[in-house]
Amino acid sequence: MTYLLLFSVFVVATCGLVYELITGALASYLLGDSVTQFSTIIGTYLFAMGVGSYFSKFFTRNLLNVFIEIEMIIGLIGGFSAAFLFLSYEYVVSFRFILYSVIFIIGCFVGLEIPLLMRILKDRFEFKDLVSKIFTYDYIGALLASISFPLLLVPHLGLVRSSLLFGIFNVSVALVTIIVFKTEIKSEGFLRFKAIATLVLLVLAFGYSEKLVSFLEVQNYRERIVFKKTTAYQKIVLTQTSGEMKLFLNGNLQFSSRDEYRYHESLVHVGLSRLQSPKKVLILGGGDGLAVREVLKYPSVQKILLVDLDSQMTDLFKTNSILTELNKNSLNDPKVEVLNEDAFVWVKNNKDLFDFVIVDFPDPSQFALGKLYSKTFYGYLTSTIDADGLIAVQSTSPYVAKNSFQIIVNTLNDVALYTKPYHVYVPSFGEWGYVLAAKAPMETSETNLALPAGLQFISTEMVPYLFQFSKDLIGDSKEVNRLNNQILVRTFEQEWEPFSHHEN
Amino acid sequence: MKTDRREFLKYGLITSSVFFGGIYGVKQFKKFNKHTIGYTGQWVNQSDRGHQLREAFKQTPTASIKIPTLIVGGGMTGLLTGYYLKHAGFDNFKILEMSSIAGGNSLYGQNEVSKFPWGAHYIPLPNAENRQLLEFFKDMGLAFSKSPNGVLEFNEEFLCQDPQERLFIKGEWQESILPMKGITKDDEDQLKRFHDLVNDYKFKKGSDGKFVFNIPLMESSQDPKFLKLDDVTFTGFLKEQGFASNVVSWYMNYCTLDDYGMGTDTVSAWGGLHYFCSRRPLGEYDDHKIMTWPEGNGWILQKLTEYLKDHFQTNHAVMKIQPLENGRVRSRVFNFDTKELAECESEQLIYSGPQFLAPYLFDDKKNLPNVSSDDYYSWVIANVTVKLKPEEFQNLHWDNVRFNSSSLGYVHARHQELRGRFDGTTVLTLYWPLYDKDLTATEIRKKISGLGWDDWAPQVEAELEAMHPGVASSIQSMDIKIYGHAMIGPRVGRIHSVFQQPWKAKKKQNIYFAHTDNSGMSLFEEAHYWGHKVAQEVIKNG
Repeated sequence: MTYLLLFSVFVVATCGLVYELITGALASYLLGDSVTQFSTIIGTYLFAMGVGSYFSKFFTRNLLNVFIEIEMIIGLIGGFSAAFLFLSYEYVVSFRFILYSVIFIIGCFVGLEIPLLMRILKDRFEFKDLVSKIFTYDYIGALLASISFPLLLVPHLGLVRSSLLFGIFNVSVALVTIIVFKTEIKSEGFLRFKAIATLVLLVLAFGYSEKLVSFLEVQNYRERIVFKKTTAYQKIVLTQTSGEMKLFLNGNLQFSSRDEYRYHESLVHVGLSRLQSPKKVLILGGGDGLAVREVLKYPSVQKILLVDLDSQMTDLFKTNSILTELNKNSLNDPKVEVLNEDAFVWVKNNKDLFDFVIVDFPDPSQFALGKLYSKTFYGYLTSTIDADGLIAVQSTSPYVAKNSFQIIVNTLNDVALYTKPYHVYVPSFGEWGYVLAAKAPMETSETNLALPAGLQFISTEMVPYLFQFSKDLIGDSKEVNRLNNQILVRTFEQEWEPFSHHEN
Repeated sequence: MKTDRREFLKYGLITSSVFFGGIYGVKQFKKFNKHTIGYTGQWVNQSDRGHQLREAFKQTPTASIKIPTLIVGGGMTGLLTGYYLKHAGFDNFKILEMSSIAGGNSLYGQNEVSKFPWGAHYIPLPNAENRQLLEFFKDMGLAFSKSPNGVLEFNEEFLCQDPQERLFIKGEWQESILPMKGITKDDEDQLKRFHDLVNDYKFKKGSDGKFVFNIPLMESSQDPKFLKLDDVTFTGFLKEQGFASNVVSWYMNYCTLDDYGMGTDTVSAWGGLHYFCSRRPLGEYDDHKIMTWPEGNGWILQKLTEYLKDHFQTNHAVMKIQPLENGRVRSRVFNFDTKELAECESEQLIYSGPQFLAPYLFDDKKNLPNVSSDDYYSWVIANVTVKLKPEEFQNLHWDNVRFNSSSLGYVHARHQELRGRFDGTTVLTLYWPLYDKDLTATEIRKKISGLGWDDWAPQVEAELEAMHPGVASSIQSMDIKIYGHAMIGPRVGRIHSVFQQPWKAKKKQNIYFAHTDNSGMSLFEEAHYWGHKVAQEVIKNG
């Protein structure tokens, strides 16, 4: 029986350290700057333990009962701490206050444990043995926790599940103590009921942890979520960390405010600056208005039609002040018309002609999206431009997915379009590709581009180099993406698989 | 007037065929509101026509009309016969359809989510030598001549999009319907051996120089050496060839049920092999390619009914068909709208209804095709509107089958839709052939005769749940239709009768039979073949 108590020292020591590590990791995960987070979390935690130790002297009777109650409280608070913190991060303004409160409370209770145990065991050992035994088990527990945390817990269970698991351990210690010492404790029946109820709660949460985790989305985003909305078609998530804003659609990064100018300048200006006073521009996808912002830099443009399926997306970028600052309020410009329709349906029914067409769809990661890169779609797309018109297509990464990139080129060629692929480096995305397509052959050594003033990335001198591809960016696929082979989606899946962080 | 047994049977059969034949479009739907099930549905069957028809048999005609060329029945073959008549400038014909809407087994439905099929829902690419059908494909905009030398390109919009088929086996989905997951080495070997056998037969020709198995069926070899295969069941043949694997048996049975509505214990070896061996690759297209539409073959149906809109009338039953001495054909035409019965005289009559009904609609019963109602099994089709979770929707294939299920799985109606994003709602069309190797088709019909929506909906739901646990709560509505005599299939011995060409048995009396029943297989290609062939014959005679 005595050794059972010593074993519980070991367990509570492990649990205590795990909560500390979980909270530290979670704080660096959500707030960044891990040195600061770990340092302040550990400091707070140790201080709180001291506070707990101090208060232990006020408990004078029924020490076993108190110990059991404390185990249950730690199990409950510690067990749900990670889930609770993730949740409050999204919904609470002063997240840091909650974070330090939680770690302080856990620390206080953990601080109570050892002094109480020492007093419970004081009559069963000599003082020198007692101290030696208790601290031996305490530090072994700490070692186990600190090794298993990075090697087993985080990679296999993740933070939410790890904390629940150790909550279960804490409450189990309480339950076992109740059963073994049932003659020495008061109101054993009620205590046991509470312990079992807490245990059931934690086990249930652990059982449903997959749902819990996907609800909290802790897997997907490493930054602070400032906006989250699930529309009929996609999940829109906007995150922000110290001055950088990122947009995710269905967990895939669409842009980072830090380098999106590289992506959008390349998408728009490489093609558009080749045209003699372009007037009408069509943008398919691109509901963030960032491509529109670039197009508006051409005074000759009189009309921009943006076709994006999701009205909630375009509304967000029309109304949110941080976002309208980013897109220079482009979607509210009188020259801009926003149509919320499926691009395929719209293009199929369209009779209008445009000088420049921008195709800015999400990557072909699903069969439905693959249709927007099919020969049939491109067939309809050709009727949006006349003999002098140009089309620019965002075409995933030729570094990660060179054959996917090649298939897009092949498919455009298959509907009798001439193509000029080009690529740029966007730090958030890596090496990124586009294809310029037209009904007549194009020259890429042009030096008389009509680029607007004030660009940050594209310049006349560098544009010809964008059309040069190093050997590792050239795929050899001869396939054409048809609706009945969806070879692009299949190739894309294969090529991106090793870079699976891209998938949600 | 006393109703004798014969007469009772006659009305009974016609009534039940009309009832079960499923006449869609009649505003007689029953709405169901269940507390146990959180959705409603329609029982898409019509029930009051049989009685009216029975009255019509007793009525005396009050008018007399002349329809120079009369096509009885507006199913796919009747419409295609009309199509080829009009195509050739032969305008003096009328198609009369008993139910309120033409289309037979190619009917379709539509709701706010999608169009969906109520029957036939795809057409395999024709064989290269089936020039007539390829021409038809071009006329319909399904294919184009890619170059002056006639190389064809099929319209990508209507080719079944990838991913085409998947199988739910051992609790998981695998691509392709051919089982691959968790099967034994022996299963694998047998599948491979069957594959080789199929490839051998596919290109084999008989002593008459024709392919052993071909589409149209009449182009198959009549070499007795191969026709012998019509004398044994497919199960018997497979056993004799040493195919004992359960996986192989399941697959074969699935395939014959899919095409004929009957299992390998009923289908002849000739019929079973025909399914696998009658289609050959066409240029760059493999022999697995098919064309399909959200509304299934209803897409073709719409084009045909538009083209023929001045030539067909629904709600008109033709009966008491009698050839006259002067070479004309007399019949009676009952109008369900006006309840009027007219005597009709025609120069030529094409009977395009199901042939098991012919003995009841012809007064002259000589030389009628020898078809029994046991050649037709029953089907249940359910159209289920659901809103699926994104990951579930993304993984949908066109055809989704469950291993070892008695249903044929479901088809995803919006699979062909040309759009890049979906909100997860779609219509799943579940096909369920009601086959039991120990019962005749008639016995099965008897067994199910009293069943309604309440009985079928839970079964359909359970079948979907088996593939998608939890899907029941996302069902928005479920419409169910039952076909009592769904379609003919090649039972043992049927192909022998097909080659005896019963379709022109009454040619001397200016009566022709145009229906897939002529072939003993309910395939669009056969409907097209007979429509074209009979039209040519009528034009020659007319």
